[in-house]
Amino acid sequence: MNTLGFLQLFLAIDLFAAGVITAFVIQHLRHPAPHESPAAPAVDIKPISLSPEAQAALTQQSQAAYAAALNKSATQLETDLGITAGLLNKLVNRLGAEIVGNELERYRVELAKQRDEATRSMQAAAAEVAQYKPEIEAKITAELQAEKEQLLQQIDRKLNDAVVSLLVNTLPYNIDLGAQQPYILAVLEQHKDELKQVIEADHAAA
Amino acid sequence: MQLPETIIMVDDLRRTMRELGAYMQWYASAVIHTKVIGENTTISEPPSLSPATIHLVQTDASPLSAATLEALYAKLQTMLDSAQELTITVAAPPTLAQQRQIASWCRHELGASVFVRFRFDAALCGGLTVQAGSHIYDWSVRRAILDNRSRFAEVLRRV
Repeated sequence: MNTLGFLQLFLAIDLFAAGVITAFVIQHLRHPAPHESPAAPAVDIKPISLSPEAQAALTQQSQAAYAAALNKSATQLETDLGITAGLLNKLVNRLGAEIVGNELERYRVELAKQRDEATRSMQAAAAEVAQYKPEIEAKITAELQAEKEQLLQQIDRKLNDAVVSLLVNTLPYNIDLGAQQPYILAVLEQHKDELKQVIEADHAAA
Repeated sequence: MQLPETIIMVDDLRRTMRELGAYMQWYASAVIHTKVIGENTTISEPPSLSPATIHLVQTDASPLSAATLEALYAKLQTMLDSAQELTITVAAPPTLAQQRQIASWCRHELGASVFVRFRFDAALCGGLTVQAGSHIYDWSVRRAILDNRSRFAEVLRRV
């Protein structure tokens, strides 16, 4: 049970007790209880009768006392409540600060742990990459070189095709056979033996 | 027997033989006419002969007689029977002089019974192709360009 609840209970008990006491007092003042004493001789007690004014005065005094007690209790309660509220505010603030601080600390610790783990992983990966780096570099260089050779060959093929196409399409025009005559005779002279063999073979076959 | 340069193709030889045959017929009839009727009679004009035929008659059938003409014809027939014709394709129509020069070389270097038929194809770009029987030889500039196409890039790099 917290402080506030305890105070409330205490106050309720106080009020109840004050009420009971006041009731007893009033009752006693109105109808006092006969004293029972076995050894005392029976005495003829004459009831006291109060005048209405006395009764009113007593009632008023009781009421005033009751009111004063109530006021005092209320004031005390108000003070206690204020103190309690202040204490509670402090407690809540402290608890809040503690909880938030704990959470932040836990978060910081977790973050640091994650960062360390990530750093370790990256270092391991970097080490592995560094280990295979020369091999990868060599492979990439070889592939690039092969690609370059292939492209150069392709360019050469295209260039050759372009030149051949140009020559084949432009040379047939304005041919001077007279200028070619010595070349023709030279080619025939160069392949004379070959032609002789063919002619002799055909002649023999015929 | 050496054929004149104007006989290039086998068809030229056949034409020469036809002319010679016609001339032989005329000669025989002229001789008979002269013998039967006499020398003062008018004989028909001889058939026209090409310069090649005239050259052959003058060089290989002298003194002119039926026998020499027969012998000449026989020789030509023998040559025709053993004739081998090359088909030479060049890049432009050759002139007569060019044809004679090439045919003369062929007859001199390859054999007396070699004749040449000429064709032209501008697609050759230059040079020639030779067909001898079932063999075809492509010595044209076009073939040289196509065979060396892989070297052009290298040549251009060095330019």
